[in-house]
Order: sequence, then C-alpha cells, then structure tokens
Amino acid sequence: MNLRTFAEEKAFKNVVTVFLAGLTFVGSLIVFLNVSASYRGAAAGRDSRILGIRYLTHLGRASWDAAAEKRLMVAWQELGGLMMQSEAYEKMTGGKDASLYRLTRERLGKVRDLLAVQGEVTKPPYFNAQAAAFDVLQYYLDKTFIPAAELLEGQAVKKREGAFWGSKSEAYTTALAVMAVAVFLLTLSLVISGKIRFVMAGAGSVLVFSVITVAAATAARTWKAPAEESVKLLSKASADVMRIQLIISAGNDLAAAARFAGQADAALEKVLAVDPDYESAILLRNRVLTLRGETLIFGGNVEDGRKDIARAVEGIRRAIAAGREDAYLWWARSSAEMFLGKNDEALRSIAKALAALPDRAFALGALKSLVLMARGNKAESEAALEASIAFALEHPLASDPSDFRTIVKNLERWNEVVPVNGTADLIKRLKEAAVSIAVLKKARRETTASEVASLQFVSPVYDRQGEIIDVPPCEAFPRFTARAHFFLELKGMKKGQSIVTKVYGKAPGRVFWIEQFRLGKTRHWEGPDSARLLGSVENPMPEAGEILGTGEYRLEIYIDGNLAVSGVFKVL
Amino acid sequence: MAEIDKQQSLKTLLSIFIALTAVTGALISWRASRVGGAASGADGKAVTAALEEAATELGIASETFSNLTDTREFLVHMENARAIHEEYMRNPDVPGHWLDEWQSESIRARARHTQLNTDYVKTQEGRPTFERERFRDTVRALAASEKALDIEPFLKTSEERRRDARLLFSLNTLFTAAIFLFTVAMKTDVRRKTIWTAAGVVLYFAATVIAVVKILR
Repeated sequence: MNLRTFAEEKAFKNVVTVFLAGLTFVGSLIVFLNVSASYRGAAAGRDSRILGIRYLTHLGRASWDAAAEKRLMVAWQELGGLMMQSEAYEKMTGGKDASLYRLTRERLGKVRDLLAVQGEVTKPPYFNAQAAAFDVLQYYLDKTFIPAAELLEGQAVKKREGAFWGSKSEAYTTALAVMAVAVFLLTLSLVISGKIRFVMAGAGSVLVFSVITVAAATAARTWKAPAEESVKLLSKASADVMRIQLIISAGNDLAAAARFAGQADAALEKVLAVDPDYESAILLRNRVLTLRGETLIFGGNVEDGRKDIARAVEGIRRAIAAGREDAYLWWARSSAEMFLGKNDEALRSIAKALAALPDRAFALGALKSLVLMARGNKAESEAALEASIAFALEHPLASDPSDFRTIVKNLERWNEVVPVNGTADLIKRLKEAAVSIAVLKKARRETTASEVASLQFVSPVYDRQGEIIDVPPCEAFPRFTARAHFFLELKGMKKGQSIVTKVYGKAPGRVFWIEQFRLGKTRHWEGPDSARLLGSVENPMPEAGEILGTGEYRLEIYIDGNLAVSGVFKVL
Repeated sequence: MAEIDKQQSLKTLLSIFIALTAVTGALISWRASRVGGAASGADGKAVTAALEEAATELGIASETFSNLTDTREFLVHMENARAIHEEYMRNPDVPGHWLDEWQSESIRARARHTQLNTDYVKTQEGRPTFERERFRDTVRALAASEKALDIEPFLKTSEERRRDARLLFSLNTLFTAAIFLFTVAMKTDVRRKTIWTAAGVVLYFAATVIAVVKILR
C-alpha cells in the first residue's frame, strides 16, 4: 500500500467513524422520541381502559337508579288509578258513601304527593303535572344515555390517541431497526478494503438519511384531541339521534323528528367548526342528515329529503375513501343510495356490507330485494327476498322481529310516497313470513283451503240485561271505545289451524302504520269448518280502563301464515 | 516526538472518555427503563383501583335501589295505615271494614320495615327518607379503607415516573453528543482539540450530575 492510498484510507475511516459517532447521537434522539411516544400511547391506553370501566360502572349504576325511579313511577300511577276509581265511585254514589270515597281519594292523594317528593321522574322537568305525564325518555337520555355517550366517546378518543402514539412508536422502532443495518454497513466499510467499501458506506448513508427523513416526518405528526366541549355537544347530538330514531320507529311526529335533527345538525356544525377532523362528529352528522332526509321523505317531501340524503352519501363516501372500512357505513350508504334511486350503487354497497356482515343477511337481503324491484328485476328481487327469509329462519337473530316490523312499516310508507310495481307483493310476503316463522316455524305459509268470507266491523247494541240485540255495521267507533267489534265469517277451517290477528294503528296526523303488540292475538282453531264469529280488537285489560286511542286501525287476520283478510276502522 | 506523545496521550484519554460515557449512558438508560417500568406498574394499579371502584359503586347502587324501594313502599303503606286509623278514630261514619284495611296496610308496612337499613333512614315529621348520599359516602369510605379506590394518586405517580424516565432518556442525547465530540477530537484534524474534548467532558459531567440528582431525589 503506498502512502497516498494509506492516507486516503485513513481519511475514509476517520470520516466513517465520525459519521458513526454522529449516528449514535441521532439514534439516541430517535430512542428518546420513541420512548416519549410509547409513554404517551401507554398513558392513553390506560385512560381508555379506565374510561371503559367507568362507562360500564355508569351504565350499571344508572340502571339501578332507573329501576328505582320506575318502581316509584308505577307506585305513583297505581295510587293515581285508585284515586280515579274512588272519584268514580264518589260520583256514582251519594251521601255518606260519597264522603267516604272522597276521604279515600284525598288520603291516596296525600300519600302520592309524599311519594312524588322522593323521586326524580315524578318532578319537573321529567313530570308534567298538568298532563300527568312522565317524560321517561328525557330522564333516560339525561341520566343514562348522555353521560354514557360522553364516557364512551372519551374512551374512543383515548383509544384513537393510544393508536396514534403507538403508530409513531412503531415508526421510530422501525427507523432504529433500519439504522442498525446502516450501522452494520458503515462498520463493514471500515474493515474491508477496496472500492466495495464505498458501496457499503454509500448504502449505509442512504439508509441513514432515509431514517432521518422518516423520523423527522413522524415527529412532525401531532395529535389533536377534540375539545371537551365538542365531546359534550357530540353526546347531546347522539341523544337527539336516538330520539329521532325512536320517533321514526314509533311512527310519531315526524315534524318533531326533523326539529331534533336540525338541533343535532346545528350542534355538530359547532363541533366541526372547532374540530373539523373529528371523525365521530363527521360520521354522526352523516347519520343526522340521513335521518332528516328519511324524515322528510316519509313525510312526503321527497325532493328536500333526497338533498339531505345526497349530502350524507357524499359524507359517507368520503369517510370510506379516507380509509374507514366500517360495514355499517356500507349499510348506511346502501339504504341512502336506495332512497336516492341509485340502484346500481346501492347493490354494490349492499354486497360490501353483506360481505362484512353475513349475520345480517336477512335485513340486507330484504333491502337488496327492494332495490332489485325498483330496478325492474322482479324475479331476482323475489329470489333475494326468499333467500333472506330462509336465512332468518335458519339463523334467527334477536333483531329479526324488529327488522321485520321496521322493514314492513317503512316499505308501506315508501310505497305510498314513491310507488314501485311489485312492492306491495314484497310487503305481503314479508308479513306472511314474519307470522310463519313466529307461529309455524316455517319460512312459507301453509297451503290451506280456509278463507275469510267476510270481515265487517260492527257496533253491538245491548238491552238492559246486557244481551246483544243488534249489530249494525260501523266504520268509525266513538271516542273512549274499549272494544272495536267485528264479524268474521270463516270457511273451510280445520282444527288446530293457527289464527293470528295483528292490529296496526295510525294516530291522527301520522304517516306510519305501527303494529300494536298489545292488541294482537294468536290462537288455534277448535271450532267447526265454517263459522261466523263476533270478535273484538281490544287492549288486554279493557276493564281497567284501557281504551283504544283516537286514530285509524288496521286489522289483519292470518290463517296458517296466509294473510286472509284485512280491514280498517276508525276511533274518533 | 513530544507532540506525538501528547497526541497519543490525548487519544488514550479520549478513548477512556468515550468508553466511560458509553457505560454511563448505558447505566442511565437502564435506570430510565426501571423508572419507566414503575410508571407502568402505577398504570396497572390505577386500572385495578378503577375496577375496585366500579365493584364498590355497583354494590352501592344495588343496595341503594333496594333501600330506596323498601323505604318508599314502607312510606306508602305506613301513611295509608296512619291515615285510615286516624279517620276511623275521628269519624264515626267510617265503616268497620276500614279497620281491616288499616291492619292490611300495617302488615305491609311492617314487612317493609324489617327490610330497612335503619342506619341510613332519616325520619322527618314521622316520615322516612333513605339518605342515599350519606349511605354512598360511608360505604365508599369503608371500602376505601380496605382497598385503593381512588385512581388519582396512581395517575400522579405514573405521570411523575414517566417524566423522570423521559428526562433520563433525554440525557442520553447529551452522552451521545459527548461521544461525538470526543470522536471528532480523536479522529479528525480539527483545530483546538482540547476545546472539543473539554466541551465533551462538560456535556458528560452535566448529564451525569443531572442524572445522579434525579435518581437520588
């Protein structure tokens, strides 16, 4: 080795050695950043676990509190019922007896007042003394739901924070691993000679600069937690969403639902103004828009409803594009696309949702059937519905009865607002399937020769002994009716056949027909082949003053799963 | 010749400093990881305390439900019994079967009364109220005397340990900076090598003193 080469080699080694020393410094910096990120991630994970525990604790505690309030409310109602009874007897009797009934009523009233003082649900704002009405839903939202939503959202935020710092820590760990390789290459360049050492040193240097770039980019990423006020507003908006869902599912005032949707939308707008990237708020806003859109559409305002739903679809599309792969997002998107009439897109979204949620094949299959029907594919639509019903029979879920009801309710209204040929058949098939699965444990109705020859609502006239002397036809029953009677003429009946009566109600000014569970009945035929029966639609305890509320009612009678007859009457 | 000896002595000194700095850095890192481990331990204790608190609170909630409903039902039957009896004694028009009702209500009230946790029933104007807040506070205090329910002290400990560990790890950057300065002084022809060496020594001692103070405190 000549002197020049020796000097060059020495200079090379010195440079690499100094470079390695510098690398040690960089490595220690990355270790420090890694440790910091890892500590923050661990603390966030711990907080997430603690908030999860507190969420469950809150739910348990709130359930006990709610149970105590419910007991109190029932006792209050019971005393109120006894007071009404005393008042009725007081009015029916006179003199000494009436005075004693008055004393009893007053006594019960005092006890009831003492009881009311002890509760929360028996006092404003959860009790309206004028209407003697409890706002149990508001109590539930204030005492259980909103605090639970705050805790759960706080837990989710901490979980996301933990994942954020965890990902940073992993990036630093990877950088350190790559740096170890770089150190190896640089060290190797010190012990070998020839031009290959430059290659080693060059490769090592490239890795070092890559590591420094990645570490710097990772360090530049910062975590921004949503403001505490944003979490509170989000939780309240979640409560509004829950209220809207309950209003829609109970078929109540859609205008009120739209108001709550507006309130929730305004709250979320405030949240997004402060925290524009707050994912939970973005997703909830999509939900609010969807619900407001559905509310408007079911209310008959299809054009404005579709505008909201189109905004929601766009929001969902962006969330999915941003990498949020949530099967329920695909589900929400598919039903929203169905409302917009984007049938091909809806089918694609249903397929995505179905792939991720195979257990929900009934509800998604029914939606697919509807979309196919709207697309004009009648045969495929019917096949999809049959497949989904068969799935519901073979893989029953606790949600099935509610899914059947919700789908039928919404489809009936949807078919009024945007009629589609064939939808009425789908609805009938779904109704018969719900009865067949529940009563016959079969997907299809039984083939039967039985039929309902006639169904006529009547208003019996009684003599002084309580005997019926006349049964004139009646389409509208007076207010406070406890029993709506009807004549039913059955033919071709066989012993043991199931007869299911379902009653749907539509309150004045409402758009949905809502199944009234307490009015429905199931029995098995034990009578002759043909018969003319006097039946009635009534609450389980009409003697206890349970009347039929004002509105329209629809009676449906199923024989062995066949929807044999349907009739409508009114209570004024 | 003397210059070469001087150079050699400096190199030896620098080598010793590099080795010393590396070993000290490793020791501090080991200590930092121990401190970080203590933080994780405090985290675990915080989670355990949260679970203990949950169990206590749920026990209190179920007991409160039971006591509240017993007290309220007792109140209803007792008030009914009292009012019926008063009216019976006062009003000669009251029929005899009211006495039966009085007895029935009294029996119902008595059955509830046997269930009451009277330590926490406050009676005002002869009417009982279950003191749910006092019940909760005292049951919680009793549970807290037996096991840790409050997570805050553990969170505080965890935070302090993590701060200490981060500081100790950050000192490593000073040690590695010192190593860098020593290496430059040893391996390059940089002028004023003693200044580079002195800067490294200052960094080394500064980091060591801070670490020792932090560890001993």
